[in-house]
Amino acid sequence: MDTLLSYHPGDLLLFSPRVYWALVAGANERYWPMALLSPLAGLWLLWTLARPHQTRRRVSLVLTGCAWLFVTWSFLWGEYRSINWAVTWAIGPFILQGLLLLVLAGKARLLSSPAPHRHLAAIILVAWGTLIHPLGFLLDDRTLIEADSWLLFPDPVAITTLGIVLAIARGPWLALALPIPLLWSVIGGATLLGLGSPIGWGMLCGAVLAMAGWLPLTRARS
Amino acid sequence: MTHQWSRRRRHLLQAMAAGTVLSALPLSLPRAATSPLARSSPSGGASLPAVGLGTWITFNVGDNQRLLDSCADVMKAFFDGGGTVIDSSPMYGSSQNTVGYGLDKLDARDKVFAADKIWTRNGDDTRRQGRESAELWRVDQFNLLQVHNLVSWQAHLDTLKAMREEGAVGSIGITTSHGRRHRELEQIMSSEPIDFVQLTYNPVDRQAEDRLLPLAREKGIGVIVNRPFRQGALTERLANKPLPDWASEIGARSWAQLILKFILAHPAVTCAIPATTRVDHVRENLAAASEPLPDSQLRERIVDTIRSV
Repeated sequence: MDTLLSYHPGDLLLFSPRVYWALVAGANERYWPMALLSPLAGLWLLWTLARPHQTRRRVSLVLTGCAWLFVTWSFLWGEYRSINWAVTWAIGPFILQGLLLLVLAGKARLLSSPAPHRHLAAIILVAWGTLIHPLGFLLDDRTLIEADSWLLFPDPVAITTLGIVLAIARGPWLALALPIPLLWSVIGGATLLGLGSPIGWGMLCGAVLAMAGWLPLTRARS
Repeated sequence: MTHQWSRRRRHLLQAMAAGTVLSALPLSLPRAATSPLARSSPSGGASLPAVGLGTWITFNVGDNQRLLDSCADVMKAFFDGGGTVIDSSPMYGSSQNTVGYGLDKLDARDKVFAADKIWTRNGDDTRRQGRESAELWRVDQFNLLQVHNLVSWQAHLDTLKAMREEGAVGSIGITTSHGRRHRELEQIMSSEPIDFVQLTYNPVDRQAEDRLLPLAREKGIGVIVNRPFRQGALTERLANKPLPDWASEIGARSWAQLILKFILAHPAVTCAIPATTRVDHVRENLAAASEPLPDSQLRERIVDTIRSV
Protein backbone atom coordinates (compact mmCIF):
# COMPACT_ATOMS: atom_id res chain seq x y z
CA MET A 1 0.00 0.00 0.00
CA ASP A 2 2.86 2.37 0.83
CA THR A 3 4.27 1.71 -2.62
CA LEU A 4 0.92 2.43 -4.26
CA LEU A 5 0.53 5.65 -2.30
CA SER A 6 3.97 6.80 -3.40
CA TYR A 7 2.73 7.21 -6.99
CA HIS A 8 1.27 10.47 -8.18
CA PRO A 9 -0.61 11.02 -11.44
CA GLY A 10 2.45 12.34 -13.25
CA ASP A 11 4.25 9.02 -12.67
CA LEU A 12 1.61 7.27 -14.78
CA LEU A 13 2.25 9.36 -17.88
CA LEU A 14 4.39 7.52 -20.42
CA PHE A 15 4.76 10.35 -22.89
CA SER A 16 5.58 14.03 -23.10
CA PRO A 17 3.31 16.91 -24.11
CA ARG A 18 5.26 17.46 -27.34
CA VAL A 19 4.60 13.89 -28.45
CA TYR A 20 0.90 13.89 -27.51
CA TRP A 21 0.18 17.18 -29.25
CA ALA A 22 2.20 16.04 -32.27
CA LEU A 23 -0.23 13.11 -32.51
CA VAL A 24 -3.15 15.54 -32.33
CA ALA A 25 -1.62 17.73 -35.04
CA GLY A 26 -1.04 14.66 -37.22
CA ALA A 27 -4.66 13.54 -36.85
CA ASN A 28 -5.95 17.03 -37.63
CA GLU A 29 -3.93 17.08 -40.84
CA ARG A 30 -4.88 13.55 -41.82
CA TYR A 31 -8.62 14.06 -41.39
CA TRP A 32 -8.89 17.65 -42.54
CA PRO A 33 -11.44 19.31 -42.70
CA MET A 34 -13.02 17.40 -39.79
CA ALA A 35 -11.47 19.88 -37.35
CA LEU A 36 -13.31 22.66 -39.15
CA LEU A 37 -16.61 20.76 -39.23
CA SER A 38 -16.46 19.95 -35.51
CA PRO A 39 -17.51 23.36 -34.14
CA LEU A 40 -20.24 23.60 -36.81
CA ALA A 41 -21.56 20.22 -35.74
CA GLY A 42 -21.37 21.47 -32.15
CA LEU A 43 -23.49 24.48 -32.98
CA TRP A 44 -26.03 22.17 -34.57
CA LEU A 45 -26.11 20.04 -31.40
CA LEU A 46 -26.73 23.14 -29.29
CA TRP A 47 -29.59 24.17 -31.58
CA THR A 48 -31.03 20.68 -31.23
CA LEU A 49 -30.90 20.92 -27.45
CA ALA A 50 -32.45 24.38 -27.47
CA ARG A 51 -35.27 23.38 -29.85
CA PRO A 52 -36.24 19.82 -28.90
CA HIS A 53 -37.34 17.70 -31.83
CA GLN A 54 -37.48 13.90 -31.73
CA THR A 55 -35.82 13.28 -35.11
CA ARG A 56 -33.08 15.82 -34.58
CA ARG A 57 -32.41 14.33 -31.14
CA ARG A 58 -32.05 10.87 -32.60
CA VAL A 59 -29.73 12.24 -35.30
CA SER A 60 -27.62 13.93 -32.62
CA LEU A 61 -27.29 10.55 -30.87
CA VAL A 62 -26.26 8.91 -34.15
CA LEU A 63 -23.69 11.64 -34.78
CA THR A 64 -22.26 11.30 -31.28
CA GLY A 65 -22.20 7.49 -31.47
CA CYS A 66 -20.39 7.64 -34.80
CA ALA A 67 -17.92 10.11 -33.30
CA TRP A 68 -17.05 7.57 -30.58
CA LEU A 69 -16.48 4.83 -33.15
CA PHE A 70 -14.45 7.09 -35.41
CA VAL A 71 -12.30 8.35 -32.52
CA THR A 72 -11.68 4.74 -31.48
CA TRP A 73 -10.49 3.75 -34.94
CA SER A 74 -8.67 6.89 -36.03
CA PHE A 75 -7.08 8.14 -32.82
CA LEU A 76 -7.08 5.53 -30.07
CA TRP A 77 -6.16 2.61 -32.32
CA GLY A 78 -4.42 4.50 -35.08
CA GLU A 79 -2.34 6.97 -33.11
CA TYR A 80 -2.56 7.05 -29.33
CA ARG A 81 -1.94 3.34 -28.80
CA SER A 82 1.60 3.71 -30.16
CA ILE A 83 2.68 5.84 -27.21
CA ASN A 84 0.30 4.62 -24.51
CA TRP A 85 -0.22 0.87 -24.16
CA ALA A 86 -2.92 1.50 -21.53
CA VAL A 87 -5.16 2.87 -24.29
CA THR A 88 -5.70 -0.70 -25.47
CA TRP A 89 -7.91 -1.14 -22.41
CA ALA A 90 -10.09 1.76 -23.55
CA ILE A 91 -10.80 0.38 -27.04
CA GLY A 92 -13.61 -1.96 -25.89
CA PRO A 93 -15.43 0.61 -23.71
CA PHE A 94 -15.19 3.21 -26.49
CA ILE A 95 -16.75 0.85 -29.06
CA LEU A 96 -19.41 -0.11 -26.51
CA GLN A 97 -20.22 3.55 -25.89
CA GLY A 98 -20.56 4.22 -29.62
CA LEU A 99 -22.87 1.26 -30.09
CA LEU A 100 -24.91 2.20 -27.01
CA LEU A 101 -25.57 5.65 -28.43
CA LEU A 102 -26.62 4.17 -31.78
CA VAL A 103 -28.99 1.73 -30.09
CA LEU A 104 -30.32 4.54 -27.93
CA ALA A 105 -30.97 6.57 -31.09
CA GLY A 106 -32.89 3.75 -32.69
CA LYS A 107 -34.74 2.04 -29.89
CA ALA A 108 -35.18 4.04 -26.76
CA ARG A 109 -37.92 6.38 -25.68
CA LEU A 110 -36.28 9.77 -25.32
CA LEU A 111 -36.88 12.62 -22.95
CA SER A 112 -38.95 15.31 -24.58
CA SER A 113 -37.99 17.90 -22.02
CA PRO A 114 -35.36 17.35 -19.32
CA ALA A 115 -35.60 18.96 -15.88
CA PRO A 116 -34.34 22.56 -15.99
CA HIS A 117 -31.16 21.92 -14.03
CA ARG A 118 -30.33 18.93 -16.23
CA HIS A 119 -31.10 20.89 -19.38
CA LEU A 120 -28.79 23.70 -18.31
CA ALA A 121 -26.02 21.27 -17.40
CA ALA A 122 -26.44 19.56 -20.78
CA ILE A 123 -26.13 22.81 -22.73
CA ILE A 124 -23.04 23.85 -20.77
CA LEU A 125 -21.41 20.47 -21.34
CA VAL A 126 -22.11 20.40 -25.07
CA ALA A 127 -20.92 23.99 -25.48
CA TRP A 128 -17.81 23.14 -23.47
CA GLY A 129 -17.01 19.97 -25.40
CA THR A 130 -17.61 21.33 -28.87
CA LEU A 131 -16.63 24.99 -28.65
CA ILE A 132 -14.61 25.76 -25.51
CA HIS A 133 -12.42 22.69 -25.01
CA PRO A 134 -10.67 23.01 -28.40
CA LEU A 135 -9.65 26.54 -27.41
CA GLY A 136 -7.51 25.01 -24.67
CA PHE A 137 -4.57 25.34 -27.07
CA LEU A 138 -4.58 29.05 -26.17
CA LEU A 139 -3.79 28.23 -22.53
CA ASP A 140 -0.58 26.29 -23.13
CA ASP A 141 2.21 26.24 -25.67
CA ARG A 142 0.18 24.80 -28.53
CA THR A 143 -0.69 26.02 -32.00
CA LEU A 144 -4.09 25.89 -33.71
CA ILE A 145 -3.20 22.65 -35.53
CA GLU A 146 -2.75 21.04 -32.09
CA ALA A 147 -6.31 21.89 -31.00
CA ASP A 148 -8.43 18.84 -30.14
CA SER A 149 -11.99 18.95 -31.45
CA TRP A 150 -14.86 16.68 -30.53
CA LEU A 151 -15.32 14.73 -33.76
CA LEU A 152 -11.68 13.63 -33.71
CA PHE A 153 -10.47 13.26 -30.14
CA PRO A 154 -11.59 11.36 -27.05
CA ASP A 155 -11.55 14.13 -24.44
CA PRO A 156 -14.00 16.58 -26.04
CA VAL A 157 -16.23 13.79 -27.38
CA ALA A 158 -16.58 12.50 -23.80
CA ILE A 159 -17.62 15.91 -22.45
CA THR A 160 -20.00 16.51 -25.35
CA THR A 161 -21.57 13.09 -24.86
CA LEU A 162 -22.24 13.80 -21.20
CA GLY A 163 -24.37 16.74 -22.28
CA ILE A 164 -26.17 14.89 -25.06
CA VAL A 165 -27.01 11.91 -22.86
CA LEU A 166 -28.18 14.10 -19.97
CA ALA A 167 -30.51 15.99 -22.27
CA ILE A 168 -31.91 13.06 -24.18
CA ALA A 169 -31.63 9.74 -22.34
CA ARG A 170 -33.99 8.63 -19.62
CA GLY A 171 -34.25 5.93 -16.98
CA PRO A 172 -31.86 2.99 -17.33
CA TRP A 173 -30.43 4.36 -20.59
CA LEU A 174 -29.05 7.28 -18.65
CA ALA A 175 -27.34 4.92 -16.23
CA LEU A 176 -25.95 2.90 -19.14
CA ALA A 177 -24.72 5.75 -21.32
CA LEU A 178 -23.14 8.05 -18.71
CA PRO A 179 -20.46 5.96 -16.93
CA ILE A 180 -17.97 5.55 -19.79
CA PRO A 181 -17.82 9.24 -20.76
CA LEU A 182 -17.79 10.13 -17.07
CA LEU A 183 -14.82 7.85 -16.44
CA TRP A 184 -12.99 9.09 -19.50
CA SER A 185 -13.58 12.70 -18.44
CA VAL A 186 -11.72 11.95 -15.23
CA ILE A 187 -8.93 10.00 -16.96
CA GLY A 188 -8.62 12.52 -19.78
CA GLY A 189 -8.72 15.48 -17.40
CA ALA A 190 -6.00 13.99 -15.21
CA THR A 191 -3.91 13.22 -18.30
CA LEU A 192 -4.23 16.77 -19.62
CA LEU A 193 -3.24 18.18 -16.24
CA GLY A 194 -0.28 15.79 -16.20
CA LEU A 195 0.68 17.19 -19.59
CA GLY A 196 0.55 20.69 -18.14
CA SER A 197 -2.65 21.67 -19.94
CA PRO A 198 -5.01 23.58 -17.62
CA ILE A 199 -8.00 22.70 -19.84
CA GLY A 200 -7.90 19.38 -17.95
CA TRP A 201 -9.68 21.16 -15.12
CA GLY A 202 -12.57 21.74 -17.52
CA MET A 203 -12.88 17.99 -18.04
CA LEU A 204 -12.91 17.29 -14.32
CA CYS A 205 -15.48 20.04 -13.73
CA GLY A 206 -17.50 18.61 -16.62
CA ALA A 207 -17.62 15.25 -14.85
CA VAL A 208 -18.81 16.92 -11.65
CA LEU A 209 -21.41 18.93 -13.55
CA ALA A 210 -22.69 15.80 -15.27
CA MET A 211 -23.04 14.06 -11.91
CA ALA A 212 -24.96 17.06 -10.59
CA GLY A 213 -27.18 17.04 -13.67
CA TRP A 214 -27.85 13.35 -13.15
CA LEU A 215 -29.33 13.97 -9.69
CA PRO A 216 -33.13 13.90 -9.76
CA LEU A 217 -33.61 17.38 -8.31
CA THR A 218 -36.80 17.93 -10.28
CA ARG A 219 -38.96 15.63 -12.35
CA ALA A 220 -38.48 15.53 -16.07
CA ARG A 221 -41.34 15.13 -18.54
CA SER A 222 -41.11 12.00 -20.64
CA MET B 1 29.93 -4.11 -28.46
CA THR B 2 30.32 -7.82 -28.29
CA HIS B 3 27.73 -9.91 -26.54
CA GLN B 4 30.24 -12.54 -25.65
CA TRP B 5 30.59 -11.72 -22.04
CA SER B 6 33.51 -13.20 -20.27
CA ARG B 7 33.10 -16.54 -18.65
CA ARG B 8 35.27 -15.15 -15.95
CA ARG B 9 32.20 -13.26 -14.75
CA ARG B 10 31.49 -15.65 -11.91
CA HIS B 11 35.13 -15.60 -10.92
CA LEU B 12 35.21 -11.84 -10.99
CA LEU B 13 32.01 -11.54 -9.02
CA GLN B 14 33.51 -13.68 -6.34
CA ALA B 15 36.60 -11.56 -6.39
CA MET B 16 34.52 -8.41 -6.12
CA ALA B 17 32.59 -9.89 -3.27
CA ALA B 18 35.88 -10.25 -1.53
CA GLY B 19 36.37 -6.58 -2.04
CA THR B 20 39.38 -6.89 -4.24
CA VAL B 21 38.23 -5.17 -7.38
CA LEU B 22 35.87 -2.22 -7.28
CA SER B 23 36.77 -1.10 -3.82
CA ALA B 24 40.47 -1.39 -4.52
CA LEU B 25 40.50 0.28 -7.93
CA PRO B 26 40.49 4.02 -8.36
CA LEU B 27 37.02 5.26 -9.20
CA SER B 28 37.86 6.09 -12.74
CA LEU B 29 39.93 4.41 -15.34
CA PRO B 30 42.27 6.66 -17.30
CA ARG B 31 40.72 7.60 -20.63
CA ALA B 32 41.38 10.06 -23.35
CA ALA B 33 40.31 13.60 -22.49
CA THR B 34 37.32 13.41 -24.83
CA SER B 35 35.98 10.11 -23.49
CA PRO B 36 33.68 9.97 -20.52
CA LEU B 37 34.97 8.52 -17.31
CA ALA B 38 34.42 4.76 -17.25
CA ARG B 39 33.74 2.20 -14.55
CA SER B 40 34.45 -1.49 -14.50
CA SER B 41 31.33 -3.52 -15.09
CA PRO B 42 30.83 -6.42 -12.69
CA SER B 43 30.67 -8.76 -15.66
CA GLY B 44 34.29 -8.13 -16.22
CA GLY B 45 34.36 -7.93 -19.99
CA ALA B 46 34.21 -4.21 -20.46
CA SER B 47 34.30 -0.92 -18.70
CA LEU B 48 31.19 1.19 -19.02
CA PRO B 49 31.10 4.95 -19.55
CA ALA B 50 29.71 6.42 -16.34
CA VAL B 51 26.95 8.33 -18.12
CA GLY B 52 24.38 6.41 -20.13
CA LEU B 53 21.13 7.30 -21.83
CA GLY B 54 17.68 6.65 -20.38
CA THR B 55 14.63 6.47 -22.63
CA TRP B 56 11.68 6.85 -20.23
CA ILE B 57 9.19 9.28 -21.83
CA THR B 58 11.80 10.98 -24.02
CA PHE B 59 12.00 8.17 -26.60
CA ASN B 60 8.29 7.30 -26.56
CA VAL B 61 7.52 9.15 -29.78
CA GLY B 62 5.30 6.66 -31.62
CA ASP B 63 5.61 6.64 -35.39
CA ASN B 64 6.30 10.35 -35.77
CA GLN B 65 9.15 10.45 -38.29
CA ARG B 66 10.42 13.86 -37.25
CA LEU B 67 10.61 12.83 -33.60
CA LEU B 68 12.18 9.46 -34.46
CA ASP B 69 14.92 11.30 -36.35
CA SER B 70 15.31 13.73 -33.48
CA CYS B 71 15.90 10.81 -31.11
CA ALA B 72 18.40 9.31 -33.56
CA ASP B 73 20.26 12.64 -33.46
CA VAL B 74 20.40 12.37 -29.67
CA MET B 75 21.78 8.83 -29.97
CA LYS B 76 24.37 9.97 -32.51
CA ALA B 77 25.61 12.68 -30.16
CA PHE B 78 25.65 10.10 -27.37
CA PHE B 79 27.77 7.61 -29.30
CA ASP B 80 30.00 10.35 -30.72
CA GLY B 81 30.65 11.49 -27.15
CA GLY B 82 31.75 8.02 -26.08
CA GLY B 83 28.49 6.85 -24.49
CA THR B 84 27.44 3.23 -24.77
CA VAL B 85 24.80 2.32 -22.16
CA ILE B 86 21.22 2.79 -23.36
CA ASP B 87 18.42 1.60 -21.10
CA SER B 88 14.80 0.94 -21.99
CA SER B 89 11.82 -1.24 -21.09
CA PRO B 90 8.69 -2.76 -22.62
CA MET B 91 6.83 -0.44 -20.28
CA TYR B 92 8.14 2.66 -22.05
CA GLY B 93 5.63 2.75 -24.91
CA SER B 94 7.43 2.94 -28.25
CA SER B 95 10.86 3.70 -26.74
CA GLN B 96 12.37 0.33 -27.60
CA ASN B 97 11.38 0.74 -31.23
CA THR B 98 12.82 4.26 -31.23
CA VAL B 99 16.16 2.93 -29.97
CA GLY B 100 16.04 0.23 -32.65
CA TYR B 101 15.33 2.85 -35.30
CA GLY B 102 18.31 4.88 -34.11
CA LEU B 103 20.65 1.87 -34.02
CA ASP B 104 19.58 0.97 -37.54
CA LYS B 105 19.92 4.47 -38.89
CA LEU B 106 23.31 5.03 -37.24
CA ASP B 107 24.53 1.48 -37.86
CA ALA B 108 25.56 1.53 -34.22
CA ARG B 109 24.81 -1.95 -32.93
CA ASP B 110 28.49 -2.47 -32.17
CA LYS B 111 28.61 0.71 -30.09
CA VAL B 112 25.72 0.12 -27.72
CA PHE B 113 25.59 -1.59 -24.36
CA ALA B 114 21.97 -2.66 -24.69
CA ALA B 115 20.17 -2.68 -21.35
CA ASP B 116 16.51 -3.59 -21.26
CA LYS B 117 13.97 -4.97 -18.83
CA ILE B 118 11.48 -7.75 -18.35
CA TRP B 119 8.13 -6.28 -17.40
CA THR B 120 5.34 -8.80 -17.24
CA ARG B 121 3.44 -10.43 -14.41
CA ASN B 122 3.59 -13.75 -16.21
CA GLY B 123 6.70 -15.43 -14.86
CA ASP B 124 6.76 -17.82 -17.82
CA ASP B 125 7.05 -14.99 -20.32
CA THR B 126 10.65 -13.94 -19.66
CA ARG B 127 12.20 -15.37 -22.79
CA ARG B 128 9.33 -14.40 -25.08
CA GLN B 129 9.35 -10.80 -23.92
CA GLY B 130 13.13 -10.66 -24.12
CA ARG B 131 12.97 -11.87 -27.73
CA GLU B 132 10.26 -9.35 -28.63
CA SER B 133 12.24 -6.54 -27.06
CA ALA B 134 15.40 -7.58 -28.92
CA GLU B 135 13.42 -7.46 -32.18
CA LEU B 136 12.29 -3.93 -31.40
CA TRP B 137 15.85 -2.93 -30.57
CA ARG B 138 17.08 -4.71 -33.74
CA VAL B 139 19.80 -6.48 -31.73
CA ASP B 140 20.57 -10.18 -31.46
CA GLN B 141 20.56 -10.14 -27.68
CA PHE B 142 20.96 -7.82 -24.74
CA ASN B 143 24.05 -7.00 -22.77
CA LEU B 144 21.88 -6.59 -19.71
CA LEU B 145 18.35 -7.70 -18.87
CA GLN B 146 16.78 -6.49 -15.66
CA VAL B 147 13.57 -7.37 -13.87
CA HIS B 148 11.55 -4.16 -14.05
CA ASN B 149 10.34 -2.82 -10.71
CA LEU B 150 10.58 -6.26 -9.08
CA VAL B 151 7.55 -7.48 -11.05
CA SER B 152 7.31 -11.28 -10.59
CA TRP B 153 11.00 -11.17 -9.86
CA GLN B 154 11.50 -14.71 -8.53
CA ALA B 155 10.30 -16.40 -11.71
CA HIS B 156 12.02 -13.93 -14.03
CA LEU B 157 15.32 -14.10 -12.19
CA ASP B 158 15.36 -17.89 -12.39
CA THR B 159 14.97 -17.69 -16.16
CA LEU B 160 17.45 -14.84 -16.50
CA LYS B 161 20.04 -16.78 -14.53
CA ALA B 162 19.59 -19.70 -16.92
CA MET B 163 19.83 -17.37 -19.91
CA ARG B 164 23.06 -15.93 -18.54
CA GLU B 165 24.50 -19.40 -18.16
CA GLU B 166 23.51 -20.18 -21.75
CA GLY B 167 25.12 -16.96 -22.97
CA ALA B 168 21.75 -15.63 -24.13
CA VAL B 169 22.27 -12.45 -22.14
CA GLY B 170 25.42 -10.81 -20.85
CA SER B 171 24.35 -9.67 -17.41
CA ILE B 172 21.22 -9.68 -15.32
CA GLY B 173 19.80 -7.32 -12.77
CA ILE B 174 16.78 -5.86 -11.06
CA THR B 175 15.36 -2.36 -10.95
CA THR B 176 13.33 -0.05 -8.82
CA SER B 177 12.78 3.70 -8.80
CA HIS B 178 11.51 6.53 -6.63
CA GLY B 179 12.98 4.81 -3.55
CA ARG B 180 10.33 2.10 -3.63
CA ARG B 181 10.67 -1.40 -2.12
CA HIS B 182 14.24 -0.95 -0.97
CA ARG B 183 13.91 -3.54 1.77
CA GLU B 184 12.88 -6.22 -0.72
CA LEU B 185 15.59 -5.11 -3.11
CA GLU B 186 18.15 -5.44 -0.35
CA GLN B 187 17.06 -9.02 0.26
CA ILE B 188 17.41 -9.83 -3.42
CA MET B 189 20.84 -8.23 -3.61
CA SER B 190 21.91 -10.27 -0.59
CA SER B 191 20.61 -13.59 -1.80
CA GLU B 192 20.65 -13.57 -5.61
CA PRO B 193 23.67 -13.58 -7.93
CA ILE B 194 22.73 -10.48 -9.90
CA ASP B 195 25.21 -8.33 -11.80
CA PHE B 196 23.41 -4.99 -11.70
CA VAL B 197 20.87 -3.14 -9.66
CA GLN B 198 19.08 -0.04 -10.93
CA LEU B 199 17.73 2.51 -8.49
CA THR B 200 17.03 6.19 -7.97
CA TYR B 201 19.79 8.26 -6.48
CA ASN B 202 20.51 12.00 -6.57
CA PRO B 203 21.24 14.79 -4.07
CA VAL B 204 17.64 14.84 -2.81
CA ASP B 205 16.84 11.11 -3.07
CA ARG B 206 19.55 9.56 -0.92
CA GLN B 207 17.80 6.58 0.70
CA ALA B 208 20.01 4.22 -1.29
CA GLU B 209 23.06 5.49 0.60
CA ASP B 210 21.93 3.83 3.82
CA ARG B 211 22.08 0.20 2.83
CA LEU B 212 21.78 -0.49 -0.90
CA LEU B 213 24.87 1.28 -2.18
CA PRO B 214 27.17 -0.13 0.53
CA LEU B 215 25.70 -3.58 -0.12
CA ALA B 216 26.29 -3.20 -3.86
CA ARG B 217 29.94 -2.45 -3.19
CA GLU B 218 30.26 -5.35 -0.82
CA LYS B 219 28.68 -7.81 -3.25
CA GLY B 220 30.32 -6.43 -6.38
CA ILE B 221 26.97 -5.50 -7.93
CA GLY B 222 27.01 -2.74 -10.51
CA VAL B 223 24.70 0.21 -9.82
CA ILE B 224 22.80 2.03 -12.55
CA VAL B 225 21.22 5.25 -11.34
CA ASN B 226 17.87 6.30 -12.78
CA ARG B 227 16.03 9.60 -12.31
CA PRO B 228 19.23 11.57 -11.63
CA PHE B 229 17.29 14.79 -12.23
CA ARG B 230 13.96 13.53 -10.90
CA GLN B 231 12.65 13.41 -14.45
CA GLY B 232 13.81 16.97 -15.03
CA ALA B 233 12.00 18.43 -12.03
CA LEU B 234 15.25 18.99 -10.17
CA THR B 235 17.05 20.81 -12.96
CA GLU B 236 13.90 22.81 -13.75
CA ARG B 237 13.70 23.96 -10.15
CA LEU B 238 17.33 25.05 -10.25
CA ALA B 239 17.24 26.50 -13.76
CA ASN B 240 17.09 30.15 -12.81
CA LYS B 241 19.36 29.92 -9.79
CA PRO B 242 23.00 30.88 -10.20
CA LEU B 243 25.45 28.00 -10.09
CA PRO B 244 27.71 28.37 -7.01
CA ASP B 245 31.24 29.60 -7.75
CA TRP B 246 32.76 26.52 -6.17
CA ALA B 247 31.13 24.31 -8.83
CA SER B 248 33.98 25.27 -11.14
CA GLU B 249 36.42 23.55 -8.74
CA ILE B 250 35.13 20.23 -10.06
CA GLY B 251 34.56 21.45 -13.61
CA ALA B 252 30.77 21.62 -13.35
CA ARG B 253 29.36 24.22 -15.69
CA SER B 254 25.68 23.57 -15.01
CA TRP B 255 23.38 22.25 -12.30
CA ALA B 256 22.94 19.06 -14.33
CA GLN B 257 26.69 18.46 -14.32
CA LEU B 258 26.93 19.22 -10.61
CA ILE B 259 24.19 16.67 -9.88
CA LEU B 260 25.77 14.03 -12.10
CA LYS B 261 29.17 14.57 -10.53
CA PHE B 262 27.58 14.16 -7.11
CA ILE B 263 26.10 10.82 -8.21
CA LEU B 264 29.20 9.53 -9.95
CA ALA B 265 31.38 10.41 -6.98
CA HIS B 266 29.73 7.67 -4.96
CA PRO B 267 32.10 4.72 -5.19
CA ALA B 268 29.29 2.18 -5.66
CA VAL B 269 27.81 3.87 -8.74
CA THR B 270 28.62 2.35 -12.12
CA CYS B 271 26.69 4.77 -14.28
CA ALA B 272 23.81 7.23 -14.32
CA ILE B 273 21.23 7.18 -17.13
CA PRO B 274 19.70 10.63 -17.60
CA ALA B 275 17.06 10.80 -20.33
CA THR B 276 16.88 13.73 -22.69
CA THR B 277 15.47 14.86 -26.01
CA ARG B 278 18.27 17.36 -26.63
CA VAL B 279 21.63 16.89 -28.26
CA ASP B 280 23.23 19.68 -26.22
CA HIS B 281 22.04 18.02 -23.02
CA VAL B 282 23.55 14.69 -24.05
CA ARG B 283 26.91 16.37 -24.56
CA GLU B 284 26.56 18.24 -21.29
CA ASN B 285 25.73 15.01 -19.43
CA LEU B 286 28.62 13.08 -20.95
CA ALA B 287 31.00 15.90 -20.10
CA ALA B 288 30.04 15.53 -16.44
CA ALA B 289 31.60 12.08 -16.44
CA SER B 290 35.08 13.45 -15.91
CA GLU B 291 37.57 14.13 -13.17
CA PRO B 292 37.62 15.83 -10.80
CA LEU B 293 34.67 14.50 -8.86
CA PRO B 294 33.59 16.01 -5.55
CA ASP B 295 35.02 14.64 -2.31
CA SER B 296 32.70 13.81 0.58
CA GLN B 297 32.83 17.34 1.97
CA LEU B 298 31.92 18.90 -1.35
CA ARG B 299 29.18 16.32 -1.89
CA GLU B 300 27.53 17.45 1.34
CA ARG B 301 27.86 21.02 0.19
CA ILE B 302 26.10 20.13 -3.06
CA VAL B 303 23.27 18.52 -1.10
CA ASP B 304 22.91 21.49 1.25
CA THR B 305 22.95 23.97 -1.61
CA ILE B 306 20.37 22.14 -3.71
CA ARG B 307 18.08 21.55 -0.75
CA SER B 308 18.23 25.21 0.23
CA VAL B 309 17.22 26.43 -3.24
